[in-house]
Amino acid sequence: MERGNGVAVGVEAISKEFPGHVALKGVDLEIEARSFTTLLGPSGCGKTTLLRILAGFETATSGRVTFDGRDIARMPSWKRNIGFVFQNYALWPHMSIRDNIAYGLKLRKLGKEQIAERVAESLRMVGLDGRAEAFPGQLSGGQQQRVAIARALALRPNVLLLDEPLSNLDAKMRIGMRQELLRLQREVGITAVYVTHDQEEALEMSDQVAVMHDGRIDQVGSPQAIYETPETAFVASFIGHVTLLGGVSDGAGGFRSDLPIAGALPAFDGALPTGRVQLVLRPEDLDLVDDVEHAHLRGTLVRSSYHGRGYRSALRLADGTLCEVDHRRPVAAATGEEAGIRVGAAALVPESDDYYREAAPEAESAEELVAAPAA
Amino acid sequence: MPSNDLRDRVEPLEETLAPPAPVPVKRRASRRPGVWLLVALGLLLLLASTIVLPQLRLVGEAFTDDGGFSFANFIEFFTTPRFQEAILNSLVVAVVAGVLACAVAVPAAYVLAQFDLPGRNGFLTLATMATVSPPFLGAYAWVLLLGRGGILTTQLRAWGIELPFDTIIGPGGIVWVTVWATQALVFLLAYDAFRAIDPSLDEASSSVGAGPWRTRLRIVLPMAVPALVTGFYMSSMKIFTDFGTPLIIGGGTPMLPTAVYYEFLSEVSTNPAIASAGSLVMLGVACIALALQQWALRRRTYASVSSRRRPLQPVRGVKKGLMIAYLGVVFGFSFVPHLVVVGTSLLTWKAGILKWVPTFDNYVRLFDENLEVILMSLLLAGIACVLCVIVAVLVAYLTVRRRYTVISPALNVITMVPYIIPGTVLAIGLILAFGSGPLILTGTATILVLAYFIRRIPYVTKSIEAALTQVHPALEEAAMSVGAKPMRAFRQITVPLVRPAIVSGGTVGFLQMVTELSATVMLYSVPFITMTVVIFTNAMQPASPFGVASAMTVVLMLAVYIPLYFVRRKFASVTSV
Repeated sequence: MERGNGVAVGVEAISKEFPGHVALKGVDLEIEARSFTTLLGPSGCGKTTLLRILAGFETATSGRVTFDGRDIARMPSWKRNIGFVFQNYALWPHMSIRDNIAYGLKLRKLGKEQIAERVAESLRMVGLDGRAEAFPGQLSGGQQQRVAIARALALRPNVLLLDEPLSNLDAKMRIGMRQELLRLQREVGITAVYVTHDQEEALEMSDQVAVMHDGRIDQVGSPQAIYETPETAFVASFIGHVTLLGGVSDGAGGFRSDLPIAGALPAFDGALPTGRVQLVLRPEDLDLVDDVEHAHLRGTLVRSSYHGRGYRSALRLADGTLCEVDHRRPVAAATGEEAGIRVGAAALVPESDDYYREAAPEAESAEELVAAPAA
Repeated sequence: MPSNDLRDRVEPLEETLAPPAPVPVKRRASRRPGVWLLVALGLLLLLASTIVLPQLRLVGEAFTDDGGFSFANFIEFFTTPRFQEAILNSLVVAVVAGVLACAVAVPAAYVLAQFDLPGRNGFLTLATMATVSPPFLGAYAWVLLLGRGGILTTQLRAWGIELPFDTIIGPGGIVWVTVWATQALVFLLAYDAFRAIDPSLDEASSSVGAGPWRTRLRIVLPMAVPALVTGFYMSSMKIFTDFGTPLIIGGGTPMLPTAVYYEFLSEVSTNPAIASAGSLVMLGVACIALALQQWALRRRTYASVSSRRRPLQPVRGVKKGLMIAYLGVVFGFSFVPHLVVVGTSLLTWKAGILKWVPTFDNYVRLFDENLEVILMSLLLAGIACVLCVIVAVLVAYLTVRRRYTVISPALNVITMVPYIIPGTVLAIGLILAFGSGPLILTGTATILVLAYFIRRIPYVTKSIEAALTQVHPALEEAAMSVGAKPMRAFRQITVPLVRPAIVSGGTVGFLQMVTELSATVMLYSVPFITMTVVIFTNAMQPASPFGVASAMTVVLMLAVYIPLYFVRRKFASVTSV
């Protein structure tokens, strides 16, 4: 298969209004050719709407969409040369697998042999050779999703758009398919835009993650940047499992917490916000110490459980906040007793207490993130 | 790295990205009108001129008195006791019979959709066949059986068995006949809905600990509610607008359609203005019913893309026997009229009195006198049916999928209007609209085709609409994402997926057209005479040749059941893919 089909995708000031609500509020995004970009966010954040605008299924109320600099905002989806993979696969139940894949090729008036060749090649790529005559109803969910991917890739599209393609699969299949999808994307050299609410998927697969929230993109960056230097409380709390503590920042590294912190915190990375801020504490950047006097924070132990590689404990801080801490060694304190927390690394984000709670990651994903290292 | 130029990459699909798309200066992107919008506008024009215009003429007639605008006709209508009674009777009968039809049909549809029972296709064929039976035929047959001097009444009396009633004639008779005549409609809708439910939904329900009855009541039944609402609405409206049944079995019970009919046609005191006012009252009632149905369906669109077939559960022993017995009883009663007609067509009639002497004379007379009538019926219904299916598919798609702000609801309302127009009233409107003026159609075959098309368009549209809501929009979007234009995606993806509904809806439509009576009776003219007209005029005359009427009815049934048989065979092979 030829390489390097992918185009660069540009999103400029895209807004989308539906009757009664605004789905997108001026979104900008640059997507490099042949990269893997994830739109990450909770349901209702506008990520699927943005993807559907890229596909041409929806028309933006205002703004521009470009493929390699060419404005395609008014181009209908059937002319965009995209591949779209649906959450529910959307295989045509009245057509065989072969016909499903060949459908778009026939529309392009390819010769019979060429179509047969492409169908076979696509099926081989997703490991389903020999199933061409089956009907969608005879395949498992994972196989159906492979067919959907094969159908999209057979056309050698310029962009591959994926709408939560793995969310209907079981966890094991989902994890396996991540790597397979990535391999296919690299192999074909296509630009992929991937919508998910699963932060683990986003971090593992993406070159670039755009965290969306309430019709806007909160932050765009590499998985590392998103994880380690979140720019908003929403990003911090959506990616991973964090404790947020209010305080004031001088913008030059100085930070005064509302809740007294003993001793100096490690230096913060990146550009720092000024004024009211929140301190982002991730469980894996914290340690639990019995020596309460030399700890940054202290709290009452609420629970502690073993997860294979270590322990996760939750402490109730003086202001009532529940703070989760990962630690390798067992804790001496019993439930209800006091223990200390040492901060190994932390980040600051501008304060915004209205949305991070409601948008906390779905329990399932959080559990998986916790459970994954142990597995 | 290969060239970044798009043109190098876009494969044979030249139009895809090849021509540099003109960059619009305007930033606000707007959807282009597109071919679907044109289709919608064309349909709107067609349906407005054939459905709305005649009704507007009716409205004009109803509000005109002494050449000026007036409410006088309505005042007279509402203050006349016989019309007051007719309104009440029609409402009560429609609701009671509609509820009973659902109560009878839904359990039958459920057991057949859920369990592996013998004779499934037989029952489905019977259900489709039952919908072909004109209601007036049911009334006619039940009166023959259970009227004061009916075959069964007399026979039972001879054996010393007294029935709890003298005669079936009366409001009770109307309910009895219409329940069995309309249950098959509910049955087919409910059956399709039950079969379309994703089996994993039941499995999910039982997986969370719900027993089979709980799953039935909390999952399966609610999923089928849209179809049941539609089924109840359709059956009760059919009963509400039925004209033949009350005329034959009502025993003078005033009902709206017959009252309006007499007001327009009565030889003593014809009053088209009062008849028009009465028609508008019926339209008002029907509008409220339509609003209620639409309200009940709102927020109830259960899209499902499951391509897994619903398995049939095995069942054995007493349960199986009871299920089959129940289905047998339901369809037995629905087919009593057919058996009566077949039986009486083979017996001798003397001056309206049945003699138990077998004979083929009735058939001999029929073919001598009426062969062209049979062919004419089929031709008219066939043309109307093809038109109806094409328009119905387009309208269903435009209302379910495209949802243009004004046009789609307008199309939906206009196609639904004929639900509520009794054939008689439709005929009055058509006569008023096309009996004079620039386009004169009265006296032609066109006006009959038009009437059949209008009468059936809501039913065919509804059945296709119901199927469309079960097809997830993503299937069509997927086609567009691989390069199919909207029309192609519609033709090659959506239409094949709703083909079962198109075939069954079209078939039912044809059967109903070929058995249409109430509009035909007013619109026909020589040589465009149909079988139903011949049957009805025979049946309504005392001491007329009932045997020939029955024989004609048998021929009518054969003429629709034979094509039905072939269509269903093809239909089955289509869906078994």
